[in-house]
Amino acid sequence: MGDVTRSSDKTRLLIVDDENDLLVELGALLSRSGYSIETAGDGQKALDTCERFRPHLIVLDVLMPGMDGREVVRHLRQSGDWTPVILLTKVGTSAERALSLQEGADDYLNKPFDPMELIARIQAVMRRSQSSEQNRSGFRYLDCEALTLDRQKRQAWLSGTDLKLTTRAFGVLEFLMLNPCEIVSRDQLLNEIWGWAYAVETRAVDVRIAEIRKQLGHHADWLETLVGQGYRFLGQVHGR
Amino acid sequence: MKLAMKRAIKPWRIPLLYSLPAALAIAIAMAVNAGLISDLLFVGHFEISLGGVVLFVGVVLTVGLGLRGFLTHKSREREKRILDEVREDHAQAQRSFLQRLDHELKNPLTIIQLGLANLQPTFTAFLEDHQQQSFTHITEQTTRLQRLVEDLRRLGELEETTLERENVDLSAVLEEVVHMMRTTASSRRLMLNVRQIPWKLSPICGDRDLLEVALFNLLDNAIKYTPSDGTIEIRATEDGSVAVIEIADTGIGIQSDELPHVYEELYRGSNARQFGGSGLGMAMVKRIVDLHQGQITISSRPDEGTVITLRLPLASPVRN
Repeated sequence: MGDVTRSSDKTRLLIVDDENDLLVELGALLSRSGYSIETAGDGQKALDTCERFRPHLIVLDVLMPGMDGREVVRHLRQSGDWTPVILLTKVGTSAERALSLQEGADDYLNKPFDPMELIARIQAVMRRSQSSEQNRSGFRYLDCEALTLDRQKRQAWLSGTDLKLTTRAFGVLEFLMLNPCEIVSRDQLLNEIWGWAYAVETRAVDVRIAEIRKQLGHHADWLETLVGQGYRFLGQVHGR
Repeated sequence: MKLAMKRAIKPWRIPLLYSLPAALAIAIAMAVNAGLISDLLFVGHFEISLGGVVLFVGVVLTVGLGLRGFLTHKSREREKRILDEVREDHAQAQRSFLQRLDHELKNPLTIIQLGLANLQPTFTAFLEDHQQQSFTHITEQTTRLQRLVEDLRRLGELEETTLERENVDLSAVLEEVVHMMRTTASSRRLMLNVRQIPWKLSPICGDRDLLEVALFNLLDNAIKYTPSDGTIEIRATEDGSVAVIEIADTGIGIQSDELPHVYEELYRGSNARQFGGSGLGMAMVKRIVDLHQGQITISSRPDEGTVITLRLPLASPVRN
């Protein structure tokens, strides 16, 4: 499961949560999955452990007494530390999720989560960071040739023309541009953008994809449909 | 509740009712003036003008009754406002409680799931059959609890969501939901009929995805609570400026005393507990219908079936 088999080369993970039982159980699971684990019970200890342990990735709880998870991310990013972070959120609303990503987290997962889902997310984030891809989640603007997204104002322009996108269509485009060249399943989009819409199946996403394609005009082929798998953004995306 | 039971006087009748004494007084004064009635009355040593007295009494009665009516009206308005506030406070308290419950369940559930995942590969290999069964039960019930927590989160999100309004072809959404459910209905040998005659519904201004969730939940319930070989009928019509959607089934029905509770979070009917579900579906549907300024009504007979009626305002003609 882990990337490397030799102990010294193991991927180092730092797990931060104020629930000791969670640290023990999650630590055991990830250890068994081949990772080298350190744990911290609060935000300040997390920052201290980061300096000593130099983790490849941090799994960080958001709600903690004292310095919370988002504050830890801010501290790290302000000090130029771009260690990938997966936030574990309890609130789980769309606004909370969007805020987490804007503040520089690489991914997030709602509690309670499927343990295998967390391992899959860790692998995906590690893969992205190892391919020296730019972490775009902390940027306000995303550019792809003539297309610009302002994530803060929730506006998009193509060759200077304002795109008329609904909130959810904007969310879909933003998520695909944050993860360019990656296949994103419909379920993942429903979970990330809709949040509540467990019952809404394929059409809801398809309707928004059609809306984006219409707005992108002759750049519509940036959005690739992979039958039975999902969608992929094919353009080169830069953050600023 | 007593207050709501009282027979209310329609507002347009109030001025009519309270101007009656004045009208009567004016009529008598006119009759006196026309000489039809003698104006002068002798009470002991006093000479009193009948017209003046009648007019005075009429004016006093009108002012008095008008004032009383106004104060009663204001008082009822205030009581209604207080009742609404109490209801809203109660709903808010319930929502807060559910949010706290949701929060408090999340960490223990995460730890249980992680613990189960840690036990799975090594521990279960050494279990006896009946122990393996117990382990499976724990895993299944944990998954059930997780679904409940997810539904609570979704309901919480619905409380804060803003509608993404657009013109929605409700017929198309309905067809899609029916298409999604047809396989499940067939596997249960249920007849699923859709009637949209003589014409298709005009569009409504709303959030397409939320409406789909609402219709999905209703149809899912109809399928879940209708025994095999039953029938589910979906009727879509227009009534003036509203779209009317009826989902009728030949299912187990709801007891009449339970009907007022079906929209409450986590409420399960006495005959519905054997079926799966979190008890949050109807609360979600109600919230979605409310967000669209629509109405939902239920009529049901135990062991005969249920009819759920949605009334949603059509988009204004300009939008069409």
